[in-house]
Amino acid sequence: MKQALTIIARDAELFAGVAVFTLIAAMAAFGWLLWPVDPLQVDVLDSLAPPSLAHPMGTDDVGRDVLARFIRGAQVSMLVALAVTVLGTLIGGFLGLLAGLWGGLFDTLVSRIMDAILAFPPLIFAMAVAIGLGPGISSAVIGVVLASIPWYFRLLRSEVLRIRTLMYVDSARALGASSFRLIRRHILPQTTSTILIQASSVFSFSILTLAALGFVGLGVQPPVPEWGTMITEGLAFALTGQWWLGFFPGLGIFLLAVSANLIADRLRDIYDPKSAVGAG
Amino acid sequence: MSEPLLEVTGLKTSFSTPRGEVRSVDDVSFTLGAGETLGVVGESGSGKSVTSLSIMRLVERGGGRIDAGTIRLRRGDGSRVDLQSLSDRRMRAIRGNDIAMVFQEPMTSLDPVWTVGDQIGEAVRLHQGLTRRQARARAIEMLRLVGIPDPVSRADDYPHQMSGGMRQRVMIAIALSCQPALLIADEPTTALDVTVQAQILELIKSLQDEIGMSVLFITHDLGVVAEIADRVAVMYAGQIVEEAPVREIFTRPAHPYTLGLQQSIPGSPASSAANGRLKTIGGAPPDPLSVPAGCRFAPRCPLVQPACREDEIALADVGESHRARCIRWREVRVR
Amino acid sequence: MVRFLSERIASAALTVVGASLVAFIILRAVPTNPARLIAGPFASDDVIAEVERALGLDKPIYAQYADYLVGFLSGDWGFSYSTGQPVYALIAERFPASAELALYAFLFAFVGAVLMTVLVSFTRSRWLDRFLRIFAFVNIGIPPFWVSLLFLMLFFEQLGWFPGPVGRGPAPGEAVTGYYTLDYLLAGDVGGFWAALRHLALPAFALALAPMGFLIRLLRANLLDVTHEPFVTVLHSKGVAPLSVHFRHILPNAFLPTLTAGGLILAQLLGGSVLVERIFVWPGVGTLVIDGILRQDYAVVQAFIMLSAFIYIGVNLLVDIAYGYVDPRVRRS
Repeated sequence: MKQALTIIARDAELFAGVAVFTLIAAMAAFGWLLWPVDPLQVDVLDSLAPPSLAHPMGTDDVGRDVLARFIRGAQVSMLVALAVTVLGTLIGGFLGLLAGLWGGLFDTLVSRIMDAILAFPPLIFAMAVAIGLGPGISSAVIGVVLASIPWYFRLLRSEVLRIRTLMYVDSARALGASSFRLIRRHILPQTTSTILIQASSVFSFSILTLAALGFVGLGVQPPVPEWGTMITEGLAFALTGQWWLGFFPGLGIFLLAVSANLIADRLRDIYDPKSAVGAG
Repeated sequence: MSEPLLEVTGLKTSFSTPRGEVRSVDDVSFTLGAGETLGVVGESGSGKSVTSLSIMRLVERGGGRIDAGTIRLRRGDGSRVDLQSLSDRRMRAIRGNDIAMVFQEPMTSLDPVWTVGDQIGEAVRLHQGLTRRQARARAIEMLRLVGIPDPVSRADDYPHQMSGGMRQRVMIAIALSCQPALLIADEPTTALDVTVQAQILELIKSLQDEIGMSVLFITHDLGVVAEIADRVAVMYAGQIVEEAPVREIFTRPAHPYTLGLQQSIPGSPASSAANGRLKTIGGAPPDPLSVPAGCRFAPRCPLVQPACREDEIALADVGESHRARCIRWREVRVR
Repeated sequence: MVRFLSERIASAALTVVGASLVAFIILRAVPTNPARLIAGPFASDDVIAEVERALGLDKPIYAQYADYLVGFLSGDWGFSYSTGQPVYALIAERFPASAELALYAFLFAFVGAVLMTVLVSFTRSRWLDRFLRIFAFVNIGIPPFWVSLLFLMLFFEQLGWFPGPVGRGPAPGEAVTGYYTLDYLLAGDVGGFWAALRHLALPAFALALAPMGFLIRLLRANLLDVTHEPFVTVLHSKGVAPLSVHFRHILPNAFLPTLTAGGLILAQLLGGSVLVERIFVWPGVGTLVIDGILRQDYAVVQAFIMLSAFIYIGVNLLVDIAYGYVDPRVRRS
């Protein structure tokens, strides 16, 4: 833990990424305590008010407080992206592990399915799933999870194949270690950093994709505030001077996505110095 | 030898690393006559490759810096230039033209997306202003010279279509295409199979006779040196510790390190003298960040005495054109 | 070469089968009533019965899949119940607008990324390099629909430099290709060409940002890798000038992997301008798809999903083949 903190403190970009990410996470977790305003409370008399002390991010067309909605949106995005990342890691990673360990028919079959999913642009695939299951938050989550599974699958599968070729796994196997033991004792410790890096980029991907699904009307359904749908709602007012409706939710998506990406990239450089800027 | 081709005096080269300044080459001086072959021998990290890159002025690319010393070259027209003082542009006119270099790694030393013919032709077009067609003719001629069968069609091959030995032949063809006065060969046979090694050595020797160039042959392998060099310089921890004609080095080594190297080679006079038993040198070369005061070999030396650890030991004459950096050189014996 | 080609084509065909199977499962097998899904919640029972017949829902499931794939390949993409037109005609009519937008976005992304990365790598300035890295990050993290909105607020509303969200602008008199800029050029109308370009600029640029960031990262990493290859030292030892080493040797080597990425990006752009089109009221496939979603007229959307997978696979195949021609290592092995 202390070591992790020193690494973060030394690297300015990683520090910025972690700081922004933590800030938004803290706002999602505790923002409603500091700003106890109901994000669904309509006040038609106070609609489309520009940012002020009473409403730091202004109000929308029916007078709802944009900051309160922004905070609730942060909760939704954080929770959903977290769920996607965890589910994607678990399912994709597990399938990849098994495919790498077992090989044979199972490997061929699952690899083919993953290739088929990868033939769709990720956003379009998530859209398809959301339509097939009917619009809503759970189908959006399933869509993004399914779209992210092939990346973990490929990653873990190739890692397992790489590690398996190293001698010590073979000798462990010769000593009669079970697959489970092999995974837990030899393969997982070797791949955690790779998984961590992949998970941070997937987090960023799921934030962007969920917002996009919300934007086209396939994600979180109104009146629940979600950053993507909030931009859609703000669209009509963007060019009539009420910029705050669409601006703030977009800023939230942007900051969260960039900070997650930044963390992933710095981690990659730290764990794999070969990919970093070399001498020269 | 009246006018040496290359004269290196007091060369010091250092690199900055995250852990501090490293002096990789420390006060290296030697001369190389026309048509002569000087073998430079040492372990990895002894500074032999950095010496060659310093002569080419290519150390800056790797984050290094030449701190002191002069490198004088006699050019084809008889004029003498100090390479250190040349502009980048004039230095480029010397690289590949007066001095050419062959590297250790034939597998990665060629541009994978150019044909070998074009890569040979590139240097001659640059230095001799040949047309595309003339350059191609020269490339084919060079491929034939280095013993590549069917050179006309091979000129259109890409590097990945060739074996390691073939690629090293191509590298030699590139280096010799402008008929340089000096060829620097930096471990050109290390990455190759033993049989191919012998062929490449033979090739360099025969081409040297044909073109009349000098060769600076860098290697960690004393056996290779015995085959190709006229004189030998042994490097240890950034310094030359002994320099002598090749026969002298093997019959009358004057530095314990040289002797130690010989005793570790099967079949060498030194190991035969020890009834064929091979000896290794105990310990490891010093950490380049903290070289010991006095003799740098002292910690590993069987003949060490207190005086060795005090002052820097000078490279002194110990015989005719034989220099060594050891105060007990008289006691170094091939038993 | 023949073997190389047939291998690639067979692999692409296999992916087509896999992708269509996945789409079929998601869109036909999973929904409880696929006919209702296509015709929408407001369709009458007669319409639903008609759709069910058209989909062949009474047939066994494998026959349904065969119908689905064959139908798609033969251009029978179903019927849009909200507009009363065949989906194929609808999409075909809108396709040039989307393709033109995607091509310009691709041009911006590729040219911009290559220029910036090459210049920065050549100056070898640490400061510029850091700036470029951060620029790439920011680009990748920007939601395209949000940046479209920002562009409109800034360059249209505030500065008035570019036209607002009014689509492609005035249509050329004679539609030869369907690409406005090209049609204007063919007609020799420079003013019209300029106007079409100004309408394209903001959406194309908004669409280009993310791929540009991606390409910068890729190209930058490749350049770094190649710069440290031993053959670069060899080139310097031959006396080749730095400029020549950089542009004639390092760049071609670093460029080859970018080609593959470029193809994938083009494919994504062709199917992925959905988000940006909506904001600029661009009369392309993307707007059609979003309208389809909003009206729950999913026939259009389903066809679009299959179409983008096919474009993706097709472009991938073309890039593979092109790569085989360009890269000597692939070409002869």
